[in-house]
Amino acid sequence: MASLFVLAFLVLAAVVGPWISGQQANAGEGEPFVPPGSGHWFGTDIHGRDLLARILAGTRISLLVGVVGAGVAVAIGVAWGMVAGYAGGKIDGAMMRFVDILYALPNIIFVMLAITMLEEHVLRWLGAHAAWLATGVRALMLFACLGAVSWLNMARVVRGQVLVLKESEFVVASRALGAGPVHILRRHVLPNILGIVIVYAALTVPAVILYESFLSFLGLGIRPPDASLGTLIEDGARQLNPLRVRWWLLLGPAGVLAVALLAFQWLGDGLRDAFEGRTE
Amino acid sequence: MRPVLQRLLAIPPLVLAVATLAFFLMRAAPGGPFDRERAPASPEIEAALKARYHLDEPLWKQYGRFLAGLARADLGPSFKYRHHTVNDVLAQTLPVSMTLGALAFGVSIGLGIPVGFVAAVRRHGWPDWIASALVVVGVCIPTFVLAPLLVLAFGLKLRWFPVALWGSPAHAVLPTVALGLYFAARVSRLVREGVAETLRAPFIRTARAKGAGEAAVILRHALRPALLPVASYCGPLLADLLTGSFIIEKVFELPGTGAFFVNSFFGRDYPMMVGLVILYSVLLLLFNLATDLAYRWIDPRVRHV
Repeated sequence: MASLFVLAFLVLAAVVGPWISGQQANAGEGEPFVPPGSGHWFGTDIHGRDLLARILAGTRISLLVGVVGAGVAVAIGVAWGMVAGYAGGKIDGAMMRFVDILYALPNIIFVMLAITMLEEHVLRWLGAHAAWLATGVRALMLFACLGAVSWLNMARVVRGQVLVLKESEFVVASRALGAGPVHILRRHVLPNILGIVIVYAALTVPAVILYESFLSFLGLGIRPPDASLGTLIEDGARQLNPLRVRWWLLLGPAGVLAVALLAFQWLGDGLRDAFEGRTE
Repeated sequence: MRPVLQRLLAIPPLVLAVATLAFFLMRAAPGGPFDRERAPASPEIEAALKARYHLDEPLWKQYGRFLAGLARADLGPSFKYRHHTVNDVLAQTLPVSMTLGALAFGVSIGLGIPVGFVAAVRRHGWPDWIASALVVVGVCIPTFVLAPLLVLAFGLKLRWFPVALWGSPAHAVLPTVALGLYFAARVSRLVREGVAETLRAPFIRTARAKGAGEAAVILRHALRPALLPVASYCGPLLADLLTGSFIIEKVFELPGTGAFFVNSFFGRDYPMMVGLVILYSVLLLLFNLATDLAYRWIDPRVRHV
């Protein structure tokens, strides 16, 4: 339960924080490298920007990337796994072979390819149809691509569950009554795999957040001046040197990231315990 | 043995499919390998470069050339490092990455299993708290933060270990720790959960009821099934570790393979990229097969399925 409170607090801070802190996340007005104090609770960065405001904005983006990315992964994975598992035979074989192929492709390469290949097209399309969205393109790409590499395990797990459920009596009975595959999947299979899906989703979120921070390190993540927790940590790590210690640049964002990841981890563990307790 | 042989025979087509996918995706990505240097060079030079690497040919011809090379285990020339073939580069860099990866694997297993084990047995005691703290540190601190921190503390301040480069055993210490700690944390979590779950199983109660001592119960009965999740995690882990880590090799300036994964992509070094994809997929599939075999050995129930 504690993890829920922590998450709720983080979400709240990330959503309303930028308004109440009264500081601009992307505009610098103060002295650079001010240590934490009464003026700037978390200090300021190299451009004199308030770090607390940047961390709040970064938390918002990171949480968004994590949740939407995991959502995409769950949607693809569940649909793919259910269809493959229920269809069986050749369709199942072909679909799972496809999963195997993607699985054997190093996913960093897949993400890099996807981001560069799609970004140009999406930008061109948005420029013609929805120019106001163009600034958020990188975030959109990250949602889609991170979700697209994270669904493979989900699909496997779901397929395994569906293979078992398919033979269960209530599914056989429903089929005998003339129910179609769509009805069976939605009414009988989906509710039964929901537990494991939720658990996996909760564990996918931190993985996606971490992955985004890695992509930021490569320069493929969120573009400056916008920040995610990953880019903030990277900025802080770059300021590490033995001559002058600016610990707050690293400690602030890294601490928030650690708290967020831990909360999701515990949430996932707790959910799993709850669901496993029920099925036993 | 038949299923093993079948799985072994399934690897080459799978690798070929992955390689084909990488081959075409790479060429579909915007930009070409010689774009970046075109500014000073004349169109003639660019054309000559393209002709030399057969980039002026139609795609199907390039693909045929690639397949022919693959049949001879020749991954082709690198576009970025002229006068080097991809095979050369791999031969030079892979030993470094594999050594480092094997060491880091040792750290993750050697540290992760005992820590997770002790944490599970002494659940909610102080060993569990220490283990949890390690896991928090390991999982939540990204490698690109941990590595510079280690360099700062042990390289620059304390001067215990060299800051970067490769050569003596001392050079390997910091990169190994930086790389291995995260995976040690993951492994210890898997072990802790596995042991805790196994200790609740009926056969453990039976063993206790027979009067077996606590040590015998844990070591003889609980440890083996508890290692199953670790075994299945080892396949992808080894494939990841042995092909090198971009971040570690960048921070410590190591001449390893991992850096090429990212650089070859940004440089549009098609043969290098495809070669690395092939290397990774072969390792991954082989290790996954080995993992499944280990699984059968650990858990006899799986053998009859």
